This record gives sequence, structure tokens and C-alpha cells, in this order.
Amino acid sequence: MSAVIQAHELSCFYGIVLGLNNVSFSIGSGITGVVGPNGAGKSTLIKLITGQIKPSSGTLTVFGGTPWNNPDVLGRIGYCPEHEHVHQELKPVDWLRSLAVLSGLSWSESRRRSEEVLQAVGLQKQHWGKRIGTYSKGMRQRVKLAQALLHRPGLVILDEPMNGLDPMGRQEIGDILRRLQREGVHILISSHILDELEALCGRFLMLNWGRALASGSQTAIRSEMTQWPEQVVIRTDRPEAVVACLGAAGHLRGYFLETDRAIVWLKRPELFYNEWTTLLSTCDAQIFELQSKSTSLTSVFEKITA
Amino acid sequence: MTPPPLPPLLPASAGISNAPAGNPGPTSLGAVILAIGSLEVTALLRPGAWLKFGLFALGLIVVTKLSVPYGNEKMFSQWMVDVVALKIVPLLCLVVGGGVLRNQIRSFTIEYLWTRPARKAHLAIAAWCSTVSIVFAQAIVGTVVVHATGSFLGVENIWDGLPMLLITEFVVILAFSALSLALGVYSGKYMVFGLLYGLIVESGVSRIPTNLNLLSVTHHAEVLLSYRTEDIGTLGLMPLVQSLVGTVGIAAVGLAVAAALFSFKQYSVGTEKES
Repeated sequence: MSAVIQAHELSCFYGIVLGLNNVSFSIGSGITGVVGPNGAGKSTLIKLITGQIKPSSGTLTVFGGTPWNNPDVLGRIGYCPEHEHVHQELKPVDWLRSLAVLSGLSWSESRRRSEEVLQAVGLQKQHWGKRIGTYSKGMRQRVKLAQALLHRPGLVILDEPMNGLDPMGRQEIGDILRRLQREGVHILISSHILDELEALCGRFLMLNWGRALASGSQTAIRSEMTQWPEQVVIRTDRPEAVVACLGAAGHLRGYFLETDRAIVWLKRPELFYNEWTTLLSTCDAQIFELQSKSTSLTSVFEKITA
Repeated sequence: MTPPPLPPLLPASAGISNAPAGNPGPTSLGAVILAIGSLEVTALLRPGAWLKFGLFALGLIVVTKLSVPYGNEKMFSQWMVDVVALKIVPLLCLVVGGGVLRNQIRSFTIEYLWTRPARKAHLAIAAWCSTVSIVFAQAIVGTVVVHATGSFLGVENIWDGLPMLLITEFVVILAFSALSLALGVYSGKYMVFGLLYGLIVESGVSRIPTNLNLLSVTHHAEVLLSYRTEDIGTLGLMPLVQSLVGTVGIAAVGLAVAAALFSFKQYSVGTEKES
């Protein structure tokens, strides 16, 4: 895998406030999700990658070059910020034309390309004549994504792109991102909506307190965490009987009961998975479904940040 | 039976390629000026901006009428030169030039500009060009409005000095816009620093009868404005050239400082905290 973004002992401090602390990672092609709670260092990392700030120490390269004050690197990056601030008084084509010219497109080409990207992000033509200030949050999100695509970047960075979008909108943005990936664009997404990231991303970078806790595919990250107990959801007509049964067999580390399911935390998952069919058949309850939750991105993230 | 073809993923975007374009290199200074200029001009064309501009012109008419007695040429000249050209125009430069990048830093919109393949120094130069254009357009309208009001008030030979006045206003705007831009990229408190600078340098140093007053834009402007009423034969060409070069030199220094600060200073976007 050739690295698009490479960080080596990267640190960034705002005075005495920690942004990133001695982080090393490598991000390759495809769609990569950056995951972490508030204050984890996601925004600092994105600002470093987009050349808005420079590292306090360590190195960061994007497409082999350092982004700070480097137009050669920035010309290959498209950035869609998290915030809602846009030039409210402008119409989308006017705004995008200026940004396209700023990205190196000619004035005549800028109009055609602005209309192309607005089409590509699914903003209907009937809205193009309105000022951006009158747009809904979802429409603004599309315009913000459109401006990131103007100069056909090789790497698109999106900070919370699903914010403010309804499920249909999220689906459409997801489709656009997958289409970009097929066209050879690398994508880095930071998001709190982990389910959406799980569906989109092939690889993840997990941050907490300014440190990189894990990186790689979800399965690879999960496989490194065998020392943690599994969380299993068992859908049944008698959750309390199932919990009593598992408790008697010595598997329970903790549990939570709902009317139609038991959520259990296992002491030794490998033993449970060896005997779960036999064990559950002896319980005085009907078992409808058994699902391991520990491999979901949310569970992996919860464990890593615990 | 052949199954029906699958619908395209995004019908609206069929045929549009977003495949990476490779490395385009830095955007040229001319393109950066065009981009920033078109952004600023398009923003200015909104109805709210026209209303403010109209109110500004109306205010000038009213204050001119109140300040200048009927047919009083000396009072008109004092009002036009001392107040409008040397106080109001520099204040406009401070408000527009100081805020042109600072307001974008405060409102996050700067992130759309400085993450593009344009040099930050070019962005600062483009911001200065747009400030000069906006303030000079306002100054032309304001000056013509004041002159028309003066003419209505019976002041004679009022239009004779207008060309030199406009030339002086232009070079004054070049210098004050650059200084204001430098203050704006240096600190969010650019208005305070600008007013202090005005008091100390423009109102203080410019009055000192030594070569120190060459540091003051106001001193150079007063020299240039003396050519409104006297011809070059009387005053000589040297003071004119010296003041033009002095003002443009101050503009160049201010712009260089602004471009360097904006290139190498790190900003905390959306707040006034900087490192």
C-alpha cells in the first residue's frame, strides 16, 4: 500500500494545550475514517494535513510533500470543513467560480466546472439562483462538498460531512464518496456518526487524547484486542433465564436485561464460542438471535477509548 | 430473459469526471487577484451593501451642508481636505483593509481560501488590491458628492482641484490600506492599533518639522494636496515626486509586512487566540 499521508512522531501543541502528541501512522488509498471523541485531536490532524497549521515537532507528508505553505501539495487536496460558515450573500455558482479560479482554473472554465460539481453533489438546478444564506443545512453541506471537488483533487478531506443531513442525504453523500473512490480519489473522513463511517470506510485511524490508538482495517484493529471480553446480544423470550444460565456456567462478566433481549459481557469469549450452542439449548428459554456486538466500530471504539 | 439494466448510481452527474487532475502547481498572482476581487465585488453587489453606500453618501451631503457656510471656499476646502480626504478616507481604509482578511479568519471562511493552491502572500496582496478598489470607489463617490454639494452651496472654482485631489486620495488609499491590512493580519484589535497609529504617527509625527515627518502618509498627502491650488512651476517638481515615492514606499513596506505576517503566522480560526 503506498502511503498518501504519512506521519512520524508528529506533535502539535497550542501553547500548553495538547493537540496531537507524538503520533505516527500511515494512511493509504481508499476511504479512511478518523474516529475519536471531542478533543481527541481529529481537527488538529485535519488542520495539519490541509496546511492550516504547522507541526510543533515530527514530520507529516501528504503525497510526499509537507502541506504547510506548499501550494503543490494543497493543489492536490480538497477540503470540506465541519463548520457551517459560508459566504451567505453569494449564490453557489458565484462562490464556486471564485474558488475555482483560486484553485488554478481559468475564468471561462470555472463556470462549467462549478456547474458540474453542483450536479455531482446532487444540488438541484432550481436552487442555483438562490443565495447560500437561504439554503437548508443539507443543501449547504452539498455546496461545501462541491467546493472541495472543484480542482479535481487526489485527496478529499471531509470533517463531519454527514452533519445536518437526513438519512436520504447521508445515503446520497455516501454514494458520491464511493463514486469518487472508484474514480481514484482518496478520501479521509472525520465523523462522530460511527455507523455511517463503518459502512463507508475500509480503514480507520482511531485517536484519543492526542494519541493514535489504532489504525488499519476494522477487522485488523479488532483482532489486536483479544484480551477484551466480547459483548453479545441474545434475543430471547426469557432474558433473565438466559442470564441465569450463563451465570451458572461462569461466563458472565456483566449483563443488561431488556424485555426481549439480554446484553451480556463475557469473561472468556473463546470458551463461550466453543460451547454456546450446547449451553443455550439447556436454558429454559427460546433463543431467536445471537449477535456479537464487539466487532462493530462503535464497540471497538468504546473499548479502545475505555 | 435478459435482466433489465441497473440504473446509474447518480443520474444527475453522469458524464462528470472528478478523477484526480495531478499537480497543477501554484495559482498565479493574477488569478488570485481575480478570484478575491470577484468574491468581494459580488458580495458588494447585494442590496444591503447598496443601502449602506447610499446612506454614507447621504450622510456626507447632510454634514457638508451643515459644515460649509454658503459660498465659503476656505471652509469647504478645510472640510473636504482635512476631514474627508485625511480623516474619513483613512478610517475607511482601516475598517475595510483591517477587516478584509481578519473578518474571514473570525468567521471561518478563510479556510476555503488558504487551503487552495495559492500562496498566502498572494492572498494578502489580492486582499489589498480589493481593499484599494473598494475604498477608492467609495472615495470617488464621496468626493464627487461633497463637491456637488459645495457647488450647490455656491462655492466657486470648486472642480478645479478635483483631479489632484483624486490622485492624492488614491495614493493615500494605497498606503493606508496596506498599513491597515498589516494591522488586521497582526491582530484582531486592529481598530485600536490603527487609531493609536493615527494619533501617534499621522497626527503627531507628521507635525514634527524634521525629516521624521517623511514617515507620515498625512505629511506626503498635504504636500500633494498643495498642488491643487498651486501649479508645478511655483512649487517645483521635486516635492511632488518625493511625496509620491514616499507614499508608495510606505504602501510597499506595509504590504510586505502584511504578506510576510499572513504567510508565517499561525491563526486559530474562529477565535482571537493566536500562536
